Amino acid sequence: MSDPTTLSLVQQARAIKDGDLSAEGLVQSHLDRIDAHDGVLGAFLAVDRDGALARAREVDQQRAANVPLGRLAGVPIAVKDQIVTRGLVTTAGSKILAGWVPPYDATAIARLREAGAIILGKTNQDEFGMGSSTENSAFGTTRNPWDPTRVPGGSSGGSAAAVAGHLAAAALGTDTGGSIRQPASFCGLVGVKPTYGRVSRYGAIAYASSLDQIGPLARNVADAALVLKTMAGQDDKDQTSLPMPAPDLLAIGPHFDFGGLRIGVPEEYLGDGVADDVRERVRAALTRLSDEGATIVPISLPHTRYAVATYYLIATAEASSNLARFDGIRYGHRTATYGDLDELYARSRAEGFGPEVKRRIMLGTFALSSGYYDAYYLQAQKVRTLIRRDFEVAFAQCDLIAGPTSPVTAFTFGERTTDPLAMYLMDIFTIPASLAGLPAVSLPVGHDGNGLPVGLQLLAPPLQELRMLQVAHGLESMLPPAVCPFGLSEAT
Amino acid sequence: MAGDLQKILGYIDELRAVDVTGVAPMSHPLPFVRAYRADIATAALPQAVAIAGAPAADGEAFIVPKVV
Repeated sequence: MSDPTTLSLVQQARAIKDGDLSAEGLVQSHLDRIDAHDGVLGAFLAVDRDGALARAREVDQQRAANVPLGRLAGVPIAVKDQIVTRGLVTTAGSKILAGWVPPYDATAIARLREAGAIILGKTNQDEFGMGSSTENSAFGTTRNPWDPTRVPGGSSGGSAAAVAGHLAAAALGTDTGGSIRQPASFCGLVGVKPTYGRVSRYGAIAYASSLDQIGPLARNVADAALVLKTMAGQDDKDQTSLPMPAPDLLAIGPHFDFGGLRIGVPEEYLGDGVADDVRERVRAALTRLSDEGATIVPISLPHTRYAVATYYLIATAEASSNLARFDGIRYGHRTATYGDLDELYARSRAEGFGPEVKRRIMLGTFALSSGYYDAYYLQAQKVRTLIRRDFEVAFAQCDLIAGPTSPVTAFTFGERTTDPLAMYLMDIFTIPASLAGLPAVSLPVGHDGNGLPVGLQLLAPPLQELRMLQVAHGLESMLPPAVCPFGLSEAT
Repeated sequence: MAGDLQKILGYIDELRAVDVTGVAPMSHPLPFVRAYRADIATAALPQAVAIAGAPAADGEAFIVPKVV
């Protein structure tokens, strides 16, 4: 067999079940590729070489003994460092958690392990998920496999780079305002943010609790669906996890009948500020859907222009509370020099947090402070209601909403770091679904003039991941595959 | 940092112009009933494991500077 890292996740799982591939061999192939390429990409913060190989050998032994294998048996998966992994260093990209070894697994990780998945390692990210380029990590740069002079997106940039570079079969990310979908768009991948509550947040280090969701990044829709199906479902350890059964995402068939499907295209999503190449590729994809029988419905989401401001009040307010737990007492960094407890707190946090995290904590604390609470935080909560209402009105006219995932393709390092507000505005198309709790997927629909991937985003009403992914799968099957050129000469 | 925050707050100020008369604030994305588990004690982390990641511990407790 040729290099198994070039197979899809679904193909890898099948090859292991059929005995065409050993789990140990598959994991070793990915480790070899990490050795060869991660020096350039910087996707991983930690690689669990010995643990991954040991678990792969267990899978091989189970198969040899005819023990039934889980649906992800032997498949190597990378995990964003925001997600807690028992016995494997977890930092959320922050110096304040450097070296922390969690004593438990996130529920999503536990479910992947139960299904036989191999946790290959932890991936780089913007500190605590706060960023859109992975340039805010305390532990260095991650490069985009499509063009290593460019960012992979963020905040789940390490996960995206690992999957696009074939260093892992798939990866987990977390998405608070677009942190799965935007890096998926920048790296030519499929990235899914599930309905809020679909996947347990237990063990996802909290950034903004009313927005955070765990989801998959993969090289195609079926791979993403398989990982999502494995993680989804109610969990006693997360009070906000939904009691509804997870949809049978494995039922995504090879063909989808687009006849009768109504796809809403918001006028606000293809206007000024969207790069011409992005607009053209998204329009071309919509034309393909229309040619197949879908009806394109012009719609409006009039409060879109307020989404970024709303998000940066609500998310930062929640972050200022959530990140209070990093105080140098129970885990993480403690300053070496302090007199009393107050000084211990202040110095530990000043030394441990990076500038973007400090900026957001200060902004959130301000929004919640007496005298400003009503004008900022409460106002943002009310506008959030209006943003959700926009979607309720829109979904009375259409089944799904489509538009660009990001107004731009991957940008170069340092291009946007001098102006935090300009960086925030890049999230304009991913934030609304987060505020409304909707499921959304980004999938590649072509390239810009520089050969960089363009992502199209589909949004669905709550809990309608199945239809959303069926349509994404149908669209994917009509388009040329997004094959990342990085290092493929070694892989083929 | 101060300049960045001023600029961000200037942008966020646009929100104050939105008419929210009669609009309820939204603190949770979806209106579904939240799941409660049974009120039964379940296994928790053993003490030694719980304090293993602390910057300072004495085998039984986290060590903090004297408060009073």
